[in-house]
Amino acid sequence: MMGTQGTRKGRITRRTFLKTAAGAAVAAAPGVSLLPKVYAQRRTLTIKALVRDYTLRLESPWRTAAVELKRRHPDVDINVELDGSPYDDQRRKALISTQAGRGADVIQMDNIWLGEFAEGGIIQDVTARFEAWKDKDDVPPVYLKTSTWKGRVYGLWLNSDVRLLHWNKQVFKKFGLDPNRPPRTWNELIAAAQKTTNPPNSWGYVFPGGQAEETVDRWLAYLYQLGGSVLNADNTQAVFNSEAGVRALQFHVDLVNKYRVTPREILGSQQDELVNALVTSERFAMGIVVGTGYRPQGTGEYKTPEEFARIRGATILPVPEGGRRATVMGGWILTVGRNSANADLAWEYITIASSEAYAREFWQKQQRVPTRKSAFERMATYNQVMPYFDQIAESVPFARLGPQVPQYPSFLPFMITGIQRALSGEMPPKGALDQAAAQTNDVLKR
Amino acid sequence: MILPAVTLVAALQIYPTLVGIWYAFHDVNLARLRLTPFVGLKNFTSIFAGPFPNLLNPVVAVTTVWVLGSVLLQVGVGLGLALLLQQRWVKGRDLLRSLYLFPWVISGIVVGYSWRFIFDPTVGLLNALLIRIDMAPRPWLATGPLAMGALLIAATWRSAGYSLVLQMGGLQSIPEDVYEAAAIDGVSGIGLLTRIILPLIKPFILVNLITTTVEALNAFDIVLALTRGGPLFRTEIVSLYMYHQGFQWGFLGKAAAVSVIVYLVSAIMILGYVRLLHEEEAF
Repeated sequence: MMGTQGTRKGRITRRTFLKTAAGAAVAAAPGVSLLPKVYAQRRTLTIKALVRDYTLRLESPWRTAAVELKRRHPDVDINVELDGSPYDDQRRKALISTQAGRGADVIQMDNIWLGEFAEGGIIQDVTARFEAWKDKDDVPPVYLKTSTWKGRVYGLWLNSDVRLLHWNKQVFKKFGLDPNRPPRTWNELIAAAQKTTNPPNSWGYVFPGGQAEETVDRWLAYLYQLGGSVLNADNTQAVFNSEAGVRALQFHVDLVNKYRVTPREILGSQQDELVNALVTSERFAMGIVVGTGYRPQGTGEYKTPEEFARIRGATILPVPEGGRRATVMGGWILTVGRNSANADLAWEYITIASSEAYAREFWQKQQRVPTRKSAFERMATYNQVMPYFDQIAESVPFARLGPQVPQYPSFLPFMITGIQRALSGEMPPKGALDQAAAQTNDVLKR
Repeated sequence: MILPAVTLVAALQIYPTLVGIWYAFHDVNLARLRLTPFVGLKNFTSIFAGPFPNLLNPVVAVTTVWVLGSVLLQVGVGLGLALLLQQRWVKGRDLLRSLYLFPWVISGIVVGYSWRFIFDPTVGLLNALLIRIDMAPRPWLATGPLAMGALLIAATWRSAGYSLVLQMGGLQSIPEDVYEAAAIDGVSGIGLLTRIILPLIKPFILVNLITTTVEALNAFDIVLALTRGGPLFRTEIVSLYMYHQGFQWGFLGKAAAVSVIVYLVSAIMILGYVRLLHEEEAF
C-alpha cells in the first residue's frame, strides 16, 4: 500500500523534498543548531543509594546533598534513587544485590561490617579518591582509622554514636539521691542502683540481655574500661575471655543476681523496649543508652532539650576502680559499591552527604554524633539542640568500636550465648567466656 | 501445551532446589559468593555436631516441642470451638466463626509483635497487670519453657480459627439422622463424640493435621518477632536456625544443608499423611 504521507504513487512530492532538504542542511551545517549546545550534550546518570530507613526522615543529608550534587554538574541529568531499609535488611540487600551485579552505587554500611565488605569486594577501595579530596583534613583521625581496612580507605563516616549512662533525676530525687550527681564509678553505680531499686515497680539499673548484638555491646564498654579487647592485635585469636572480660561480665552478673538491681527478665527483653521504658517512665533509674536518650522525633515526651535536661541526665560511663575511661562507639560509614558505574560521582555524593553543612540537620534533629572536625569546632551550636553534647564530645576520644573483622557476625552468637549463660546462672562467667572464645577461635581459623 | 507449565516449575522450583542442594555441599558465604569451595559433608556434620546451637542441641528438640504443641493445640482448640459452635443454643454462629478466623488473616510478624507487647517480661502488659493485682510478675520470654508457652499461645490464637472452620465443615457433613439414631440408641456426650463424631470427621482432622504440621514446620515470622529464638536458643526452631545460619551468621552452605534436611523430613511426613488419607478413603 502506497499511502505513506508525502508520496503520491511512489513519487516524492515537492513539499516533502523541500522539508527534507532543509532539515538535512540544518543538521549538516557545522555549529548551527536550533537547540542549545548544553542540552544537546546532556546525559542522564543514576546514583542508587542503599541507606538506612531512618536517614530518610529528613531532607538532610540525602536529598539536600543530591540537590548540591546536581548543582555542581549542570551538564548532567543526575537521578538519585534512595532505598531505605531496616538494619538486617540493609546488610542482606547490600550483599545479595552486589553479588547479583545489581548493587547500589552508595552503600551505607555499619562499621562492624567493614572487614566483611572489604574482604568480600562488596565495596570499593577509595584511598586514591580520599587522598585527592580537598576536605580530607576535616575527618577526625578516629573516623579515618575506623574506615580503613588493611591500610586502604573504604569510605567516610556519616554519623557515629557513643554509649552514655542515662539517669532519671526524678527517681534519684524520690529515693533521696542528689539528682545532679550521677555515679562516677562502678561502686557508686551499685550504691545508687541499690537505693533506687524497689521491685517489681522500680529497678536501679537496666541493660539488654536478650538474644541480640546489644547484649554484647553493653558488656564491651566495661571490658574496654578494664583494658580488655575482643581479639588480639592481629585479629587471629579471641581474648575477650581475659581477666578483664571475666570481671566485666561478673559485674553484669552481680547486678542481676547479687545486688538484684537489674531484673533477671532482661534475658527476654529487647533493647528498644527497655530503652523506651528507661527514657519515658520511672521504671528504671539508670541504664546505658546509645546517645543520651533524648528523642525529639520520638514519642515527644520532652519538647525541648532544656525540658529533657531538667528531668533526665546523660553522662560518661562510670569507671571501675583502677580502670580507665572507655565506652563503645557505633555508627555508619558511607561507601562506594563494587557495581557502581559512576564511582566518581558516588564518591562526590558521599563527600557532600557526610559534610558538616549537609549532615548537620540530620545529626542535630536525630541526635547523631557528628563525624567531622568542623562540627566539634561549633560546640556551642550543637549544645543548644543536643542536650549533653559536651558529654558526647568528651566520650568520643576514648570510645572504641566492636571488632571490624569479617568473621564478627559469625562469632557474635557465641559471645551472646556466653553472656546469657552467665546472666542466667547456667555457667560461671569464666567458663561461659572460655567456651565462647574456643568457638570463636574455630571461626577465626577458617 | 505443557511446556510453559514445565518451564515455570523448572525455573521456580526445580532450579532453586538443585542450587540449594549444591550449596549444601559447598562453603558458601554471603560476602564472597564467588569463592565456594566443595566441602563434601562438612556442612552436614557441622549442623549436627558443630558448636552450640546445632540441630542436636537444642534445635530438633525445640522444633519437636513446637510442632507437636502447635498441632495439638491448634487442632484441639479448633475442634473444641467447632463443637461448641455446633450447639443449637449458640447464637450468632456465623459472626463468631468470622471473629475466630480473623487472626488467621493477620501476618505472623504482626501477631508476633502484638503478643510481644503482652508478654515482654520487663515492660509487657501481662506483667503490668499482674503487678497491679498484687501478684508477682513472671519471666515470660526470659526462660525457655515460658517463652515456648508464650509462642504456643500466640500461634494457637492465630491459627485455631482455621482449624475451627475446617472442623465445622466436617461436623456439618454429618447427616442429622445420625444424631437422631444415636439419641434413640441412648448415645450422648463423650460416647457420641468418640464413637460417632470423631470417626466420621477423621478425614477432616487428618487434612487439618497435615496443614498444621506443615505450617508449624515452616513457621518463622511469629517466632522471630516474639522471641528471636531466645533465651539461649530455647525457642530456636529449625526455620529460624536456618535463617540465622544463612543470613545472620553468614553460612549459606550450612543453611542450605539444614534446608535439605527439612525438605527430606517434610517429604517423609507428607508421604506418611497422604498414605494415611488413602487408607482412610479406601476404608
